[in-house]
Amino acid sequence: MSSFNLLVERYQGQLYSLSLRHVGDRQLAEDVTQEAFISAWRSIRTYKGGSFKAWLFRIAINQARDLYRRSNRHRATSLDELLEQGTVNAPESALEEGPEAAALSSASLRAVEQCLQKLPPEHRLVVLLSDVQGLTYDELTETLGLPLGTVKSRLFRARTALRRLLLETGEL
Amino acid sequence: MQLLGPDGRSPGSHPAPEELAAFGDRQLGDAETDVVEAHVRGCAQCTAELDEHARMLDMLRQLPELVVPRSFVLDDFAVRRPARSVWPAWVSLAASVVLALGMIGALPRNNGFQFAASSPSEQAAVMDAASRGVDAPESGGGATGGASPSEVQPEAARTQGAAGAPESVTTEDSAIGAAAEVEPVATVTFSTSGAEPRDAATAPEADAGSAAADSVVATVQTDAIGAKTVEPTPDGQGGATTGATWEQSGAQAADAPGAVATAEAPDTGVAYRAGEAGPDEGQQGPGAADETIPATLGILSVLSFASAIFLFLRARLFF
Repeated sequence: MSSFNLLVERYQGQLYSLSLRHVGDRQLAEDVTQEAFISAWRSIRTYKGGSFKAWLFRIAINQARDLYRRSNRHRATSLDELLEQGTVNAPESALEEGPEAAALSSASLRAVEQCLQKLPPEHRLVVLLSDVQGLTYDELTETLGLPLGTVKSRLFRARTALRRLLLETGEL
Repeated sequence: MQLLGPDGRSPGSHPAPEELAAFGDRQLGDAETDVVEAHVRGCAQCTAELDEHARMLDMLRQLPELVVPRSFVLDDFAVRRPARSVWPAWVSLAASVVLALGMIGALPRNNGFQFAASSPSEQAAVMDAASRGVDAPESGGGATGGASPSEVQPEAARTQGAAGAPESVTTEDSAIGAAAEVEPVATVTFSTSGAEPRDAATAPEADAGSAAADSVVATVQTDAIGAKTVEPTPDGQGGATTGATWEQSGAQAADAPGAVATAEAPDTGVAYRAGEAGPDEGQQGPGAADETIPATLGILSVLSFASAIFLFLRARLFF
């Protein structure tokens, strides 16, 4: 289990961030993250190689769907509360841009977070997986369990909707 | 005729939006990448599209990783607890319902009731009649029963209504002062499973023209009022549309030995005769083994329901 916990420590931030932005509730996101790691540990024998991150995210998405359906909590976390949690592992690009760019980036990131929360869940999820978590198309098909064509079209529609929202807010 | 390029498009046409996005994501194969790249190089519109796409992706990729509120490192306790699922709760709840229904179904039989009615309404009539002891059952009509002393007419029964119409018959048990007004609009036979064959009277046949005269066979045992047998005999003219025969017998047959009631229906020719049920004809009470069935089902039902509640609470609250 200690070896598996190394993976937990490596991916828990990404998994929790994905879960919180996806389900919109901090307690639910904690449950999703914990249950996903437990489920991954129990079914580690079914992992046949490939992208561990995609496999883990798929488990988390299934857990989120089950827990969200069971729970009465529905996106109780406000955007402010979500942003107040701070960041770790900030992208290098953000650190390299200097104080002025970082301040601008902070406002822009806030706008992006707001726009993301306005997307329909399935659009938000595919954008989170692809553009925030950086999964490839193949990993998207594995994580979402969808054909490549469906993934492409869904991602395109999601990005189009997000771009429209960002243009309305003046961020693009 | 327009010449198409190797990708199937005309040389000047724009790539599909999804394809352009995939190009921006660097998710195209080498051959497709070369084609799209060649187009984009000379197309300001696609270049602008790609720039906007890149800016948005850059913003999304700068979204920070959120601080985890706690460590999700696993321990033995976390991985050994049962998986959270509400399926066991649903199964348990379904089992409790089935057991409860089984208990309800076992109760009347255990109390000496056996019925086979052609419709639920007739079953209800039989059960209703049985619950009131001397009340005659009905089918499609409104049998009314009561125990008002003012309605007591010993040794007599009154049948109301003309031939072909539902009759109302009042029977009375002088031993207990209970009277019942019945409308035997359907052929209903009560027979006690433990009664002597002579008490298992045959119901009068319904009038051939009465389509509603469904046959109902039932066994009624009413300990509270003792044993008695009432059996109609269609010996008159005009003919009742239906006849009714019922018999009641019980372990307390000795309480009302010789309790005889005769109901005559002069207008319709339907006569009800209360047979004598001696102690030797008394219905034997349900065995001890039979009594344990509903009790066991009841206990199992309660346990199953409690289990369902526990599983629901555990799935929702504790884990």
